[in-house]
Amino acid sequence: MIAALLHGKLSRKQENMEDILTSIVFGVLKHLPPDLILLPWLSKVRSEDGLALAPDEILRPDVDVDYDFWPQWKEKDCGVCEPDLALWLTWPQPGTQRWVIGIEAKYLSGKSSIADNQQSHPNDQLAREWDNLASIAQKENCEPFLIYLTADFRLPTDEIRASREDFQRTRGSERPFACYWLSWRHLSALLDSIHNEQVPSYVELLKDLGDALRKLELTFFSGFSRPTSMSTVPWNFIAPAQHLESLFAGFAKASIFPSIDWRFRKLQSVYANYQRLSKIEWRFTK
Amino acid sequence: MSDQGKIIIETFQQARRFCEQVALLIQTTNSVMDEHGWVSSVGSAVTHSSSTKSADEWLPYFAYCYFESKERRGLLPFLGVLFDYDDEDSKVQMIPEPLVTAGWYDYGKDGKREAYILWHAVIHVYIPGWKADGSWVEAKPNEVFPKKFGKLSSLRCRSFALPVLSLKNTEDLTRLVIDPLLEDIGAGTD
Repeated sequence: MIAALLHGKLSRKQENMEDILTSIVFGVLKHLPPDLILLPWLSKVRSEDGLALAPDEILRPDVDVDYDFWPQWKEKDCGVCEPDLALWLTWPQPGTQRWVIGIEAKYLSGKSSIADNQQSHPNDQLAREWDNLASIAQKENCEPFLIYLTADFRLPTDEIRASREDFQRTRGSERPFACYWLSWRHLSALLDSIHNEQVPSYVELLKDLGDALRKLELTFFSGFSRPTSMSTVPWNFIAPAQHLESLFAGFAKASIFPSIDWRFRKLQSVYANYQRLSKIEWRFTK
Repeated sequence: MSDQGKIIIETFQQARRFCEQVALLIQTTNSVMDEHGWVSSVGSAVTHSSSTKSADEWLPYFAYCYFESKERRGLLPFLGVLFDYDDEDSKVQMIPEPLVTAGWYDYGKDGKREAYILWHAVIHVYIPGWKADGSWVEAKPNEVFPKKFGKLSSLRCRSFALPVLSLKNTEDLTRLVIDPLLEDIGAGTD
């Protein structure tokens, strides 16, 4: 899939699909040691209060990760939902703590559903996913986290706040809503910071992944492209009247193309053509 | 297509590409500042004119972003990218290349600001003898800005500038611009 993207074999519509982006990125990460990319990337998640996932607990380098793509969840009294990914994290020792991380990935679009006051359960997409996730986690005796993965530069406060309000409206305060945010751009920045000698076995794979994110413009600022030199263009605009010529003389000096010698010719020729037109004899008569 | 026409097309394309990269720089700045509790406070990033009487302003002269924090209402940090900024009326020293400038305004204890926050991000080039070497300078805005900008209510402003092309990536932006800004703000009035 990455090769198809990088070689322009995907249609614009396909390139814009968040499912394909999810597949490209997590399809690669699934085959890498978690502590190489996945865990450092997850360490960038933030809640509305600026909280991160506890790195010493969840993001231990020896944690086992199971990927469950597009699981369908329908817990009792909850609306059906399909997050893009569920990550099951387990410590290597049997019987130890587990976490389930639901990931709702977005690229160019926003949430697929918002609050519906007619519904007795959460209808907002994130609220619905959290509703199911919290229930699943309770049954599985693990700790739930929901991550809203977007192309934003900053935490999309309004969207997460709306999800919280829908959850609180329907579920009260018995189970608090919790949603973290992560950006695809954080992954791009992370990949840029990794040197080849750190990942000798995965250089090409990570390069392709970084190229894919760059192609989709999922990066933070990465410098300026080198400008090419401009040649002189002998083109000038010449004002139609004397009093305007002085104005345009100043304009030429302040031009953003100081080397372009362009002038717009007077409108004389247009007027001349106008004068050559025959007089129209037609009149409308009652 | 004539060669000359091609040059004009390429000039505009190049200018638009530069604008896109400046936008990315500003969005990245917003993201990093947000992580430190400073929220973007002005929605737009440029100002320009659509009038035939101000055609030179069809393209912006500079881009900007401003920040605010509920905890530190008396401060207004900013970042500006000056494209070919010039002010012939005020005879500012011409910029030799595009600059990135950052700094902060100090509005004192009451924190009352002007109604419009616009030109504040260009103050650095109004400070006599300004340099683009990353060194901080401090000025009283009402003393350095021309009167046409109106009376400002801030007590002082500290700023610095660098050639924008010295920033190659987010790491440079953070290390050379945002970190020094956040560090200097630490010394500001609360």
